[in-house]
Amino acid sequence: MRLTVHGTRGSYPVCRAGYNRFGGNTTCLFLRSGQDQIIIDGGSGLLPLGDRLARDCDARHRVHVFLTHPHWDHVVGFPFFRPAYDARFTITIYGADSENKKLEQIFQSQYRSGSFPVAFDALPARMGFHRLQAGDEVRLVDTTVRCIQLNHPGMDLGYRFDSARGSIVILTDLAPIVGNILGLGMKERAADHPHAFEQDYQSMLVDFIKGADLVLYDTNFTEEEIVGKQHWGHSTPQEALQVLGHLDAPPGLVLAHHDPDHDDACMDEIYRLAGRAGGSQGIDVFIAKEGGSFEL
Amino acid sequence: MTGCSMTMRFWGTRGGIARPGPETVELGGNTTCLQLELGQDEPLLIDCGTGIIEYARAGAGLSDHHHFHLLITHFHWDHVLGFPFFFPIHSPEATIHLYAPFDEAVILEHVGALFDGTYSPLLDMGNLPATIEIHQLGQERAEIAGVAVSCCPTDHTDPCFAYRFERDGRTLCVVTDHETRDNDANDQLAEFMTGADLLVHGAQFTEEQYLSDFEGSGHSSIQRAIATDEQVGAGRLLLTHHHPLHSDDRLRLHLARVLRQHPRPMPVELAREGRGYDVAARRDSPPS
Repeated sequence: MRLTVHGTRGSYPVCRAGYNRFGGNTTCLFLRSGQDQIIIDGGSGLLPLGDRLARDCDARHRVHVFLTHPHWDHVVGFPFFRPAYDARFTITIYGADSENKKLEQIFQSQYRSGSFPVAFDALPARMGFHRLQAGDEVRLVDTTVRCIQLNHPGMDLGYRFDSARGSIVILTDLAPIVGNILGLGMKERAADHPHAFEQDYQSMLVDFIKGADLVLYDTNFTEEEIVGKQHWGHSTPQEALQVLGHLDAPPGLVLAHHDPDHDDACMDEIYRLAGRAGGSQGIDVFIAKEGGSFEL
Repeated sequence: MTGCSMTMRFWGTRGGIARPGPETVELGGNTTCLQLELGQDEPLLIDCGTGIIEYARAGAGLSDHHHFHLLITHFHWDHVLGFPFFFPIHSPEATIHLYAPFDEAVILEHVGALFDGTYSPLLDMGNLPATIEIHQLGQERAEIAGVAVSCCPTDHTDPCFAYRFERDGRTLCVVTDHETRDNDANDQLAEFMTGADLLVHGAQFTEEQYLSDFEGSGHSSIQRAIATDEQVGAGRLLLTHHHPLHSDDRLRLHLARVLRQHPRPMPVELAREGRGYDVAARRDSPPS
């Protein structure tokens, strides 16, 4: 099982000097799990990834794309995904409906006339959709995938990928929930008992991670920055460590979804501080870097 | 007369999709956004690809501006996707004037779709703290932020327009997305560009790429942009809308090769993000 980072910036792509070690592309991850080729999100990092997949393709290929949520920084690369223009590819897209769009429409709207020159229906690849709801399970050849709803504005899914080689959890994007219930439908479900709802959500999150080897976590903000911005829907390294601290045998933590204002020097410092805090809890801390990978 | 200075500044020079990374640091990785600096109080911008985020970030004292004038060439993603991240939209003091030669309803539909609650938490452009005013441009010349503006359709995969700016005897033409080929649209546009002191022209491909894979793509090659520049007698040519997968080095090497093979010296450059280019009246242009 190998997870490769093709984009890990939050909000929008950052094209500046001083950002090249951690990378400026928005969220796109590639997970090779036995025979299964899995892409998680299609931010701007999908352009170089798609280019490479199409170039390396020597036969028919099947690619599974899991969408956490449809915010721009997670979908903007799809119209430029080269395998979609290649008839040798079969591409299955997994994800949830948004509040006002079906999963299919989330993709088709990106190819609509006036916004993009190619119509979705004209794509040569075989495109399929698999609608998910929180709690669903999908069995691929060598991988089992499960999902839960994360606390982020709109509908956002966290994923867990289990194989014989190990288990990787992707949690992006998500915010601390206490006093800050954000997810689509969550407020309604929490209405009468918000405190109990928050506790249930936190236990569910911890259960979802239990037994995993690695957790990639949205740690966009520092503790200073998150003040007044909790409703933006992102966490901090400390919040991630606190969640992982509930486990007897915590997984490794990968810091991800870097804020566009955090240049390489700033990321070095965030990583250093998180590593020290994790060390005191017995948690290994890693950081997502464009081009970097994690192997189990 | 000399008048005020006229400077074309690039905040985004890539076509298609933003392309961060070491290979694009020099010419820039952000998608199309240009600023016409005329020494005026109210900023005048062309297109709002991701470059507009960089413009807003770099703009010291941006909060002093209450009126922004933003011309749109067309609604492909690489020309509008920076708008939801343009922070003046969150300022109740800001008024953003959007201009395009499209029906008001079409402008509203395309820009409004950026705020549908699915692709960002922002739901309904009408709820933004800033005032957004839509202006439908017609065939006649308009006066916008102190400069005369006219437009002309280009040959692209969806309706798209070129802009011509004139002030104090100086003329700038901006043609971001146009496929240079032998047809009426091309003739009409060539007439529109005639005599520009500075021509900004899209050049997404090499000629070899264009001929092998991209006829009908709505974009020109570097060679075709240069041929157009010669045809319309522009003083200086700036190439933009660089291919997102072409590295800075590849682009520079390619342009150098094309210019070496060209029979005459040509004032041609690759547009760089962050840089301003003076629109100077040519020595041979008549006094105004």
